Amino acid sequence: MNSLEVRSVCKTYDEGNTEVLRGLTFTVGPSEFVALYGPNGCGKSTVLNIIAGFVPPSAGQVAAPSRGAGRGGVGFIFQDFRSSLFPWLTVAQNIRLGTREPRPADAPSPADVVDLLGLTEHAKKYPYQLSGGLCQLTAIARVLVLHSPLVLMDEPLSALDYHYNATILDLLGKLHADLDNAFLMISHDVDDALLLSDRVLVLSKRPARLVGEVSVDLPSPRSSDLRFCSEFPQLRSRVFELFSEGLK
Amino acid sequence: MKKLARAFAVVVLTVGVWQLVSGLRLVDPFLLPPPSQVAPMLFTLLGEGGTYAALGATMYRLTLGFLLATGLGIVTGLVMGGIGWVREALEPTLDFLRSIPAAAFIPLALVILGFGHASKIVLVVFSAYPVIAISTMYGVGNSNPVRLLVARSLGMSERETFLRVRLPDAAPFVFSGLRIALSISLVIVIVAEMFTGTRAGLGYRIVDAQYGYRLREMYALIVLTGILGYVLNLGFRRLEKKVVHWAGRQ
Repeated sequence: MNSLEVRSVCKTYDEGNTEVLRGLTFTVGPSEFVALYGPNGCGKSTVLNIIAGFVPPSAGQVAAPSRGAGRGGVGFIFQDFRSSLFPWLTVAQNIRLGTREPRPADAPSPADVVDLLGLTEHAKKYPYQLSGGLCQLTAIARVLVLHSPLVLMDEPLSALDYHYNATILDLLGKLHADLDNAFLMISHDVDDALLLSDRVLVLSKRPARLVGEVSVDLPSPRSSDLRFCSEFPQLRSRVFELFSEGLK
Repeated sequence: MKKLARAFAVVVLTVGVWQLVSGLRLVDPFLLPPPSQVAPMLFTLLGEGGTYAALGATMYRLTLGFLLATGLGIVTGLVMGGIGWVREALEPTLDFLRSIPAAAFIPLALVILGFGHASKIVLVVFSAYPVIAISTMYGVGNSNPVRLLVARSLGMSERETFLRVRLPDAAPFVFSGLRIALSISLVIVIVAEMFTGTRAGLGYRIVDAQYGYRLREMYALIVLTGILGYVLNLGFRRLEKKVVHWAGRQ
């Protein structure tokens, strides 16, 4: 069974005058990492917002994991990581924020996640005392403790400097290899999308439709060094071809 | 340290200019006694029990009025921020009341509540309440939209979202409203004591010194009132920094 099924989803605003999504259909399998890539303003974030239940689709259906007893539902990592943290809570308190009892039996404990992400020495600090990269790590940790079957990520790397971009990219690659969560990520950086994903779905300009997909058969766990492997330029070119097609 | 030195330098400069203006008789020293005469008077006053009685009366009215306004204002603001139709119904009236200088109600307060504490306390409540209510309302109604989405994604109920997101997110707004309201309250209580026929309080002591042409005493009492306002503001800022430590640092 897939972790996510999006069937013929449409979204319009202004009483139907502004069409954002047109008949979008795709799936994300269990433990799969899928990236959505497309032109700026094509509606990528709208797709995530619909899947997360923040906005309803105008037509079509979404089958996503729901939150229940012992189930994490859909985890969401926001692009604006500073605003997504609660500044009146410490790092440790932010990470525990969404946990509920009873916890899923196989869910990692907040302490384990703090340790895994190297946040132990920062656990008692407040978000405003951290760098952007550490804030994003805290936001990732908060979602990991929920043990959500599906994690949505809205450009999680875009606002980070080179160092933290590479660090978090490597971490996400490792988490994807080690954990059984499925990931759906928006990226405007084709390298990030290819480095992390099993598939890259390319969307057209607005109204967004699926132009095509590129399967990424790179070794696991993924890391930022893979951009120098021989297959990488070809994969990049294939994504750009579909991207150009979507602009027509 | 540099900051402190600069602030101290400005104080010294201000006092120096005051001393010069009076000492060089640019203004009649009877009307503007120099700080070298006002400072000893201030110390004399600080040695008299009557000064503390006046200070106590002012503080009693200020504290009670401010606490009442805080309770009423925060509750009103929370309700207005949380319930759209209550906000729509109350906001114009509160905005109108806020626009009326509280001093304009002094005659009314005197007629209805007489010369005792009650008239001054009610005037303080009247001046501080709308400021606190409106700042609380804005705080609750303008939570960070990303954090509200985080709350939804974490499966928080409406009640949880209100208690764990909207309330703490509103706290910096509430505190800045309280700080402004505290300054206004001090002004109002002093003005009310001047003109409501009372025989207690710093405001009364200032006008009493003026009527008796004891101008050195009047200046010393004005300085004392300034010190009171400064200390209250400083104390409140410290409290604010401790309680809403994240304000302005995100």
